[in-house]
Amino acid sequence: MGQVVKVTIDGRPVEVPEGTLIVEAAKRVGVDIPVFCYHPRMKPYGACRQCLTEVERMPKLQIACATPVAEGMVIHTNTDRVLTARKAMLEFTLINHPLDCPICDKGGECDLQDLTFAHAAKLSRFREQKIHREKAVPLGPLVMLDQERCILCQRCIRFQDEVAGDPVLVLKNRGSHEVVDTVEGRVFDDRFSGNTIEMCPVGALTSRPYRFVARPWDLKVAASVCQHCPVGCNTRVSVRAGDVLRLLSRDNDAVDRGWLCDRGRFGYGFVRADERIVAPEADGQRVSWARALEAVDAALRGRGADAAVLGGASLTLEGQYLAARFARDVIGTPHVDHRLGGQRVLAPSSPGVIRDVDDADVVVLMETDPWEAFPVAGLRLRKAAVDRGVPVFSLNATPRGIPVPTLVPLGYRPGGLARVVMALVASLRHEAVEPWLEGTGIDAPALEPLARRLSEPGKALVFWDGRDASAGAIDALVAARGSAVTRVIVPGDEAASRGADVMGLRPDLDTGYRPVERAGMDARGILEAAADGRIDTLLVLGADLFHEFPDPELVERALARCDRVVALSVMRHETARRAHLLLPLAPWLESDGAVMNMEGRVQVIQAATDPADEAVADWAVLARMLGIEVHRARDVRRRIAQAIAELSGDLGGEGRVVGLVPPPAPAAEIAPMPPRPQGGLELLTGRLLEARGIGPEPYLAAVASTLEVRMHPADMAQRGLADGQPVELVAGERRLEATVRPGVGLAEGCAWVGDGARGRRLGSGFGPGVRVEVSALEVLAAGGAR
Amino acid sequence: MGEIEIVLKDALAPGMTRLEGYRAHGGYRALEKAIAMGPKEVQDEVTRSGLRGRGGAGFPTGRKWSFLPNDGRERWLVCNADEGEPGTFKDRYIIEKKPFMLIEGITIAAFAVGAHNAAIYCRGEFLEGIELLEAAIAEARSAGLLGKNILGSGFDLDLWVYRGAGAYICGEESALLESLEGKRGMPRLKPPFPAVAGVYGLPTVVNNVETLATVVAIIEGGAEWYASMGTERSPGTRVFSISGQVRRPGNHEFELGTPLSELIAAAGGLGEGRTLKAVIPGGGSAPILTPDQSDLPMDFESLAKVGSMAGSGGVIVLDDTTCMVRTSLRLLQFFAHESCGKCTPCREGTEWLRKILVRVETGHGREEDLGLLEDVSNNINGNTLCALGDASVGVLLSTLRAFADEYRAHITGGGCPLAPVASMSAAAAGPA
Ligand SMILES: Cc1cc2nc3c(=O)[nH]c(=O)nc-3n(C[C@H](O)[C@H](O)[C@H](O)COP(=O)(O)O)c2cc1C
Ligand code: SF4
Ligand code: SF4
Ligand code: FES
Repeated sequence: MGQVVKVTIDGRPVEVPEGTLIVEAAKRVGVDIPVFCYHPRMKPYGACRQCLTEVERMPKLQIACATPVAEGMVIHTNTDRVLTARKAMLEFTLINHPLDCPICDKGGECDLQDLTFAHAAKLSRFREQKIHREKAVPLGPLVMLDQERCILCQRCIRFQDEVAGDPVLVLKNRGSHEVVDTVEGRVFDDRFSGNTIEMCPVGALTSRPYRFVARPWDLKVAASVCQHCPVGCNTRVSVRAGDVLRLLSRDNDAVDRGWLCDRGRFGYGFVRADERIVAPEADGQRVSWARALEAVDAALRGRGADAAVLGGASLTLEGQYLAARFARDVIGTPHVDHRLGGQRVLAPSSPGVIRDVDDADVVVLMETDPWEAFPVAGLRLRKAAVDRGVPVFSLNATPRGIPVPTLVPLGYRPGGLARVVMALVASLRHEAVEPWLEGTGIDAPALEPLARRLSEPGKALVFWDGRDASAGAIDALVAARGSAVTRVIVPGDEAASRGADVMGLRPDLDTGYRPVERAGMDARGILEAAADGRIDTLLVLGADLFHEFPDPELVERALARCDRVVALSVMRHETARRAHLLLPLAPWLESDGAVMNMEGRVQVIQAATDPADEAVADWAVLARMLGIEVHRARDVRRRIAQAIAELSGDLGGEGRVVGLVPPPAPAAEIAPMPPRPQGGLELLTGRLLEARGIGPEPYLAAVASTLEVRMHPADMAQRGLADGQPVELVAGERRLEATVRPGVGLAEGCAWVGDGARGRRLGSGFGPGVRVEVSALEVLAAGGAR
Repeated sequence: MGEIEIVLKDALAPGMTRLEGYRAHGGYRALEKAIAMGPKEVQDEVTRSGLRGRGGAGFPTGRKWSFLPNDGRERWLVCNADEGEPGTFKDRYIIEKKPFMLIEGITIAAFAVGAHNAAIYCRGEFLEGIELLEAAIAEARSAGLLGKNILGSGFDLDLWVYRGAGAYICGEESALLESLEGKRGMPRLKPPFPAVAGVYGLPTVVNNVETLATVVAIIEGGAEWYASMGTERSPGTRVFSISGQVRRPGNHEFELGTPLSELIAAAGGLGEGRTLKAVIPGGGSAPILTPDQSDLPMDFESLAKVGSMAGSGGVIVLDDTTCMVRTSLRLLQFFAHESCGKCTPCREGTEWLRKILVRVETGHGREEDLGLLEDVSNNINGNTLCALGDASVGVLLSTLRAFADEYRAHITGGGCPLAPVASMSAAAAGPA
């Protein structure tokens, strides 16, 4: 690569890097070569033969999708020979195609339909009986297959194999009887399954929620950004008569490369769910906005340190900014915190971007699982591992395993990350490693390959979960690697945690990470104070405290004791139910604005539809609460730009990364490991993707997982537990039923539980480090009692 | 020019399927000689012999070996024993009669190219052949002729048999490699060729059974001796599987370039009172020859010159009782059934052709069908991912040209003038 070659396409000269495929080179001169099996984000496959072109001095027609250009190549895409072949391939593709376009979801936006109109003969010469197949095969909970419409381009199969790393789709039978199916014993429930629907060039794969719902020409489209996790994948939202009917991807090379995960793609049913709050409420009664705002003002204005503000990590950037202003300027309280889940650092001191994956030499996952915390960026990580062999070290991050071939899982006791990282630092400094590892459950030889990798020059990319204890250690690691580049990304607990952080929804720093005069209490401090009666008023910004804060009992006590709870909320979740004053928020699908993702990238979103009933965009609600007049999100952004210059002007197609980081905090002391508990296992937890974002999501109910506990095989053997066996977890007074499976890279003596199966969090009883007993669950004998 | 047994030498001698018997007939002298020569010399010898692959494409074997990149990666040798080409049964014969010659050939070839792993990808239906090969491999291994330090040379080779599962396409080398890796057998996009990225992405040589067996003879007799036979561009001998309407179908080894008529004669000639109608000279994929070409030299270049091909060496002789439409139909039935389905023109086109041919043969043809058959064939030909597509229309296109009247008679006469229509019900039902 690198070298530029000159080629001629249909008489037009063009210079492209050597190795560019003809189909891509042609695009540069505005020549669109028809394709079916080729997909620019996947490897060439050469199956459909639709892209045949003529290359001078090559006797046979060549497939443009797989033939790289070479110096001096002369290519023709519109000679008689090419047009004949193109027409012929379409004729072949159509002979067993049902042509049920009038009732096909894809009709109107179908590659086969479009190419047929553009290039095919008007009449078919096929007079034989078409082969009939199944019209509606449910491949999985979200994807339906029409075998007759399938043109066997295999994009779907290749996506699962090549991109998602879960080869669940296969071909069955041979020749013209071939069909796509799932591999024996599986349903198509991969978390990226929806991408296959979008890339299917015909209407063979359809979305079960969208099937037979709309015709494309009736749809309006808005450009949005998914807010179910902190990646911030770009989406196109299809809307008809105000209803959001589906989400498609919108390729942003810097962020998503055109993929979406199913959590995002199918995460729009909540918009019309019964749990939506559609009007302001006071003490359970619907009230007018004017009355509600009056009441909010009375409850909050000038309350100072008696009031506190929690949440805000799922608002727009504009909403977050105005919320910070409201808290500090109207309420006048220093007690503001968006970090309900316990993350301390959102903008690490050596910040990285998602694209750093592309040229990283080593990736380290620190207690953050790509498949659960940043799925679509995880696909990029997988690609780097598959294509370039980049090693991926996983520190207590992926106990369920992820399909990354270079994964090196390393396990240790809960709470051990800071010491493990300091051991790496010690190794880089040629100091003794062992003292740091004492009691962590991992030894120096196990850590050695990672230590060696980090000692080599080249770029290291760290994904870290941003919890307190390890912050100093991470900074020390960056410093110890000296001139070797180390970049750190902290995927936020919520979609817009990073934005909330930068906008100043934290007790110690205001907008743009400006220090405040007097730091307030953090989330736990606020809730404890509320439970003690030291704080009597809470403003909750779009968060369900019971869901996001790890100790629901404390939330319960705090809410019970507070005089006034004001909540801004999209859904009627537990916290909203407990609020005295409730203001209805329009979620991002109904709101203009900007959002900041996990790398600090600010991207603009368009409202896809009007807010439900009386709901209002978060920034507009806060503007009303502030009593300022703003009509557009952009006006708020202009104000933010006065504090943060990077945000002025047009943000560009890829969005703009705001690399602001907070001033260095004093490193916390790294405590020695507590002794191992006598008997039992120490618990590790990881928040699942399905427990992120706004929910409950009706379309995803069918893919919700069951509660699962992962253990070291030795611990399983000791307890006589077999893979897949139902077990009971007991921690003190509490118990849970789950299925046990061997963990990937878990240390002995540890058990891992996925937090948020079916959207429900585990709560404090099963927090990290808790001692649990796992034992076989007695199964009820058929028909009998236990 | 004429019949001569080199690969088939002593094929029917008693005890040939046991190591002792094979050795008694000079077996393993070539390997000893090869080891004494060294890999480079063996490779040069094979190159100088001019040996061309017997699997179908006739690619020079020495050149193929030289394509392996010298990049330190592990190398593989794969023997293509999938023999699925219609009218071809010579590899099976070699396997069943001289399994040790194949194993010796594989050992020499692996030694020459520096492969320490070799596999025989064997057609699944060759139950007896697979048993024989497995027994022979075990015997060779215990005699120090396979495994570690072969004949004290320091050269190691592991060899095993992989049983195919009944797909013609798995004879195509890249589909074979997919299947060998445990995947669905479908051809890969090329380049990269197996020499660069074969089994598990490693440099791999794929050679046919007969090719590898021939290597033994070349090393034993020398390149000059071997090249003294055959023609300049098709040196040596080859085993022809002669079948069809001959009196004694079977395998016969001839110098390349021997006239077709001699082959037919060796197989006992035609039946009483029959006359020659056509010959498919290189397996079901090869365009037909007509009686006026019965003196054509059977070598790679002569057959290519007349628009056919030497192919797999399967010579199918058809006499005047044979219906050409039905012949085409029978082959299209095969190819439509065996099309792997990966690429559109082959998957859809072969089935379409089959359906049209069923109609024509059963008397439901239309005037425009002849043009359509030709057009559809031409749209497949040259446009598919692998050569199965081209292969599927070889006989059809050539008979449409040479026997246009016979096709037309089916249409105007309402069916086959040569056979009762009723017997076509099986054909009409299509492949299972
Ligand atoms: C559809 C198809 C089927 C083939 N089947 C066989 C086969 O059964 N045996 C074989 O040796 N070669 C077969 N070939 C040729 C192989 O791809 C390959 O060229 C050959 O094994 C190379 O060996 P050689 O160089 O010794 O001839 C087939 C090719 C195609 C396109
Ligand atoms: S289902 Fe769609 S994407 Fe998959 S092979 Fe068929 S046409 Fe292609
Ligand atoms: S030509 Fe036929 S056999 Fe070859 S790849 Fe295409 S479909 Fe498969
Ligand atoms: S797009 Fe080129 S072969 Fe399918």
